[in-house]
Amino acid sequence: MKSGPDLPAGARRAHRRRGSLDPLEIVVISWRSIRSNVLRSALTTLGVVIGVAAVVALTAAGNGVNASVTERITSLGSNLLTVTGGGPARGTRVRGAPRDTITLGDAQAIRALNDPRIAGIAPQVQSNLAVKFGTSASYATVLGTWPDFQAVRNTEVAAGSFFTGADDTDARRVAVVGYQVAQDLFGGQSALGQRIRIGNLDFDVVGVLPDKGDSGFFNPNSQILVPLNTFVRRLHRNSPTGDPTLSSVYVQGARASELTGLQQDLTTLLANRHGKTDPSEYDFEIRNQADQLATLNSVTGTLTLFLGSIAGISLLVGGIGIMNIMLVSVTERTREIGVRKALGAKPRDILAQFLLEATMLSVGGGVLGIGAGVGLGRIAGHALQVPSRVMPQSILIAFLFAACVGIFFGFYPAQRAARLDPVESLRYE
Amino acid sequence: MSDAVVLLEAVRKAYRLADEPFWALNGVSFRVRRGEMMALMGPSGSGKTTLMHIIGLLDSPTDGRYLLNGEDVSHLSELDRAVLRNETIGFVFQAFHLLPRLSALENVETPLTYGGYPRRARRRKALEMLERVGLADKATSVPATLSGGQRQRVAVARALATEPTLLLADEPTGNLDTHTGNGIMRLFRALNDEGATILVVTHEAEIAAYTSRTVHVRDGLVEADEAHPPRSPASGPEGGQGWWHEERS
Repeated sequence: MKSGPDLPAGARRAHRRRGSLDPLEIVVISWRSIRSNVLRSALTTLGVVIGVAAVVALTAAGNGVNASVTERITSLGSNLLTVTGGGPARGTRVRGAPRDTITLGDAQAIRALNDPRIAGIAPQVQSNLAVKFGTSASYATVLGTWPDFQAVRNTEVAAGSFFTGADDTDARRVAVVGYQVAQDLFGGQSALGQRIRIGNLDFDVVGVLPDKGDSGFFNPNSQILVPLNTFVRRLHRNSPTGDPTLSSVYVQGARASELTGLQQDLTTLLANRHGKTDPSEYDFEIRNQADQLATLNSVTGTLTLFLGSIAGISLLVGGIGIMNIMLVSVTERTREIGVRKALGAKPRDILAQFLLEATMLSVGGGVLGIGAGVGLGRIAGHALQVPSRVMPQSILIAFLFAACVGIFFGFYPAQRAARLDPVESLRYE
Repeated sequence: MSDAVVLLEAVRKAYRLADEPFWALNGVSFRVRRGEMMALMGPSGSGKTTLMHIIGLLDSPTDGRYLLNGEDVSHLSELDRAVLRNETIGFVFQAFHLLPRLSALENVETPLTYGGYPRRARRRKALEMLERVGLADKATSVPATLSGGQRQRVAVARALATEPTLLLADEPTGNLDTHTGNGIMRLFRALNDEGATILVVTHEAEIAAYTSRTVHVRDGLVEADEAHPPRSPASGPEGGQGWWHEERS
């Protein structure tokens, strides 16, 4: 030994950096051992890849459903209060069973409030009627409403224009036809200015609606919109009292924050008009779009959480896979551990080596899983016809969860490695 | 006492076998002087391996005292033993025990890595050690591509890397043919001539003959402790048949 004999051991040790293993060296050691068995490392990682991918893809699909439902509802108009006949669910009566209790008088009373919080009012009354043009005939949902309908129900006109307030006051026979109706009756021809027959009356087509898509429960493309007055005077079955009944009244609030107050005031107004004092006697119902959205969002949110949790379980299974392989690996490498200890590896060096190996496997799986999850989410979204919305939070959570899984399930095998008796492990065959 | 690298006083070691303690070592006392090259001999079951593990800080004595470089190390924690082992003990094993995935150079670097040496100092030191055992040209080879004698020389280089005060060789020629084994023993002689303190554990008298002192162990006790002249004068690098010219197999 060159410097050995003349320096006492204590002095030699004192001037040496008695530091521990450089953390970077542990990374190198762990990475080498992962690389030394590529197939096994890949298979071990696969469990986490699938778990993370499932979490990311399923939450993306869930959020896509949520977003698409929200979008569909708000596309029907925003900040809406819906007044319908019937009444809140109570006793054995099924909610929503319609009763014709809302009348044109109610709608006019709401309009007469001139409340600045109200941006628009669209009463609705409708009936399925036969329509004819020349030799072509079709059925359509004929809907009587006010011009506010255009703004309240978020309806564009593709060609021509919407009917006006004057059209309504004078009960003119003008109509705005849905895309499908126009197709059925006029084929490729322009519908504007044509005269069609609805029931027994002739109407002039003043506007055509754009293709709005079939939303499943009702098809806006097979609608014909006519002025409310025209409808109640010429197409409606008369109501017993002479005040024509409506199917619903849509009231659009100017601001979302005022919607609840407006809802209460309208409830009071209608209760007075209908002579009801006790809420349990109310023969109408005012639903708030924000409440409906909140309910729907909580349903889809629960669905997303549920899907995410199931996917989370697969991530857990992936973690157990890592633990399993790490335990095998520790046993297999008992002698290597013994040699490292003989060369001066401290228990914590061995612990760090194996813990890091497990963490690298799971974090690697997490990264690959996020990529796979985003891709899968797109495919699933395409298949389910919903947009896939990958949330950054779900990526972050899945990633952190994967890392934690690695640390959690890697700890026990690593500790076992660190605690191996050097004498025993050197002897291990 | 200052010249004693190892000082054992009445060291005993018990293993628990079916509740009955089995005394693998039953009061062993001897010293290893600085610069000495000695052999520890005994048949299997004599306790010589247990003794080597205790001297090498891989194990602790049940009772008795062990002074390493004058420092009492009988009851150190596992962590302290690991640090001290790294700094003062170099191991050479019968089965070489090289890390299979690392190159020769990286194998030699490993104890320096655990000692916290910076990368460049480590590399320089490891290369110097490989040169010392005549294997500088094999620095990038992995163990599987080296012959038995070359592997054992890498192991010797690795044992020397941290400049330990004691080199412990456990049956260093056990897995080698006689010719190659003799080459390794000549390497030890050469290192001893340069000042290294070396303890060789063996059951072969031929190997023990390379040293200048043999301690015989039997049934956990020192049976005999005899000084003797080494079998042949060390054929150092200048001797016609140097240790780096041996086998090609």
